[in-house]
Amino acid sequence: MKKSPKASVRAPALRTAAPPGGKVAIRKLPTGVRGLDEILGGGLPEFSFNIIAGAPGCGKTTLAHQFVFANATVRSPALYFTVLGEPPIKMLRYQQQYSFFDATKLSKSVRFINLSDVVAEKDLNAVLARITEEVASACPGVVVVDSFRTVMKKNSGLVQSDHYQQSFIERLAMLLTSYQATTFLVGEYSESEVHDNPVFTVADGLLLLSQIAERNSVVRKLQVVKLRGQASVPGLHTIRIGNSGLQAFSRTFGLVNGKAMSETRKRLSIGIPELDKLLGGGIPEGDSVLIAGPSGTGKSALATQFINAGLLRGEAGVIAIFEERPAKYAARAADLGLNFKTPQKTGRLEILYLRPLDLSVDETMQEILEAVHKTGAKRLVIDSLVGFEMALSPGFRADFRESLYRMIAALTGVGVTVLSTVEIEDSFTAFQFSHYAISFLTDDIIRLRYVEIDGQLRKILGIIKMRGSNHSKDIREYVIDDRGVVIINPRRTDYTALTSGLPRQVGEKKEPPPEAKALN
Amino acid sequence: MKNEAFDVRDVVQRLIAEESRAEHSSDKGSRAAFRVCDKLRKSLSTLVGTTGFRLLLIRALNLAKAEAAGLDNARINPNGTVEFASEIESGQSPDDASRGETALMVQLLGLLVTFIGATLTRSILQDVWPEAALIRPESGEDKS
Repeated sequence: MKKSPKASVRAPALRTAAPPGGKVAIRKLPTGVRGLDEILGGGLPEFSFNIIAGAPGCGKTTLAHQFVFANATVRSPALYFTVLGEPPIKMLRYQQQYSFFDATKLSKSVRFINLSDVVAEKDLNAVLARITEEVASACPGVVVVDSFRTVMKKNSGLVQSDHYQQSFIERLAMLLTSYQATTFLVGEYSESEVHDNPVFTVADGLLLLSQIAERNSVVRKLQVVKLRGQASVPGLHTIRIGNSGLQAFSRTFGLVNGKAMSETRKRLSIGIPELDKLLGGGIPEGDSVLIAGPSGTGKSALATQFINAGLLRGEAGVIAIFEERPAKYAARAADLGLNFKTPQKTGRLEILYLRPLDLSVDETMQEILEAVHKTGAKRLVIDSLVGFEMALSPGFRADFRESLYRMIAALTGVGVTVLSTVEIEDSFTAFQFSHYAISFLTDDIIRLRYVEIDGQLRKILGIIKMRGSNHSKDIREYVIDDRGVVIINPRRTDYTALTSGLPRQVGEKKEPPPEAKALN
Repeated sequence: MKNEAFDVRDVVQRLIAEESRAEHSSDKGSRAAFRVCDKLRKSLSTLVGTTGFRLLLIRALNLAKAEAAGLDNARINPNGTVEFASEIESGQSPDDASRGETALMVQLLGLLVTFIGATLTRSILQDVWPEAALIRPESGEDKS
């Protein structure tokens, strides 16, 4: 076998610092797919022999191309073997539409070699001989065979085909490993075929792509079924194919290795001094707070005041909204005397308007996370959870609560304080915290509600829960005026059954209503 | 990437000129356009397979026949090589024969540009003819 002199100049593993204990250091190669490196545990192991499997249309070829263009260089080129299936000329026609496709890399760094003739006319030995010839000549750093299934299928009718195929795969794997090539075999394999196919036994890594249709929505998923030598993030991760190729959305949102919150947590002002007192000094930093109440009780005003309090302290913030445009949201803040336009211009505040339509919940959350990272936000408002869920396609709603839980847990884990609003209908017979069943993911709950007193619908609030800290048990009346939510001084008139919404006055009336009753 | 000029006919003429310059004594008798096609066959067969190249060439030949009747005497072999009847056999002048071969190359490159665009086509050609100047310096637009 002829060995290219180039082989001697490419020894990346030797350049990697040896870890303690004399163990070999496995360099991790970038995949070129946004979000995928994090899922893989830092990248794809160098010299690994991998399979990208999945039904047609899942993005297998695009993923392989992204890896190729991210890693191929003149000194360490990529060989892309095409076999039957998609005609190479069409493949080039379509793949060049993606932004990652760098035409200047073609020929020198990325070489496409068509094996259709040898596969159609000869056997696996001839295929291996041709691959060997090309690999020996180019000494590539990356090798792709697309579609590998076509190669194997063509030879599946031969006598002793199982042994024959296994031998071919083993020889191919040894060849490519000995030439220090990181390899992808691309094939239209389904999940059920993974268990009894020899190619999956030999492979170091197996990425399984799928498309799931639900009602009118289709979502693509990626699963790292197998990856030798390093820990990957388990489970099904959403992927999307856009102008820049594939993008993957890790189930951990890339926050698993975030900086942990300090043990001593400070209290954050919510922007309403009297409410801060009820909260025992403010919201503990890194908490998830739920503001629950019916329409018009001031949930958004309270959220706005919370963000503004942070901005006044120099803390950047992000507001994710679903029901109105950012300009209108900022204008409503201005009505309360709060200046959101300046911090928006300086990049300390981002108001995200999200109408995801067919986006998955993970993708939407990724947008929120990117805004948090971009601004360095310490405070995040999600206004509202109901709007968020409704903005998703029906097919994605099943994942909503689980994804929301993962995102909130990840964000609060690195010290971001998350305030979510949720609209609930007031019942005049019961006092719900949230029919939404998301209170499990919140540390603190503030409940707003209407009560009927003396022919007026007045507003009261109470702190229902503060995880790990004491808080006021008082039910307090508040109003919304041009300053936002304003808690009025404790009332001296006594009532009972306030939480029912239909309280009864106990004793003598001792003060007028906070907002004057209309005169007849 | 900047959309540089790519006039297919001009490029074909440049490649033919390049081959004419590089003509060795052993090549005497074979025609420059013929050699352009054969060099391209070797490169493109690697990329799209022998069958893929042959089918592209057959399509190019059919298109080129409309402008060069002499191509009726051309035949595409299974390995993708082109076989022309000699001028004497076909009754053509050498100029007519050259016109036909040029027309065939123009159609072949035109198909490539149609499918994979000017940038990739130029990249493929530049790989085969690294010294050839494929861009007219005065041009500013893709004319293909």
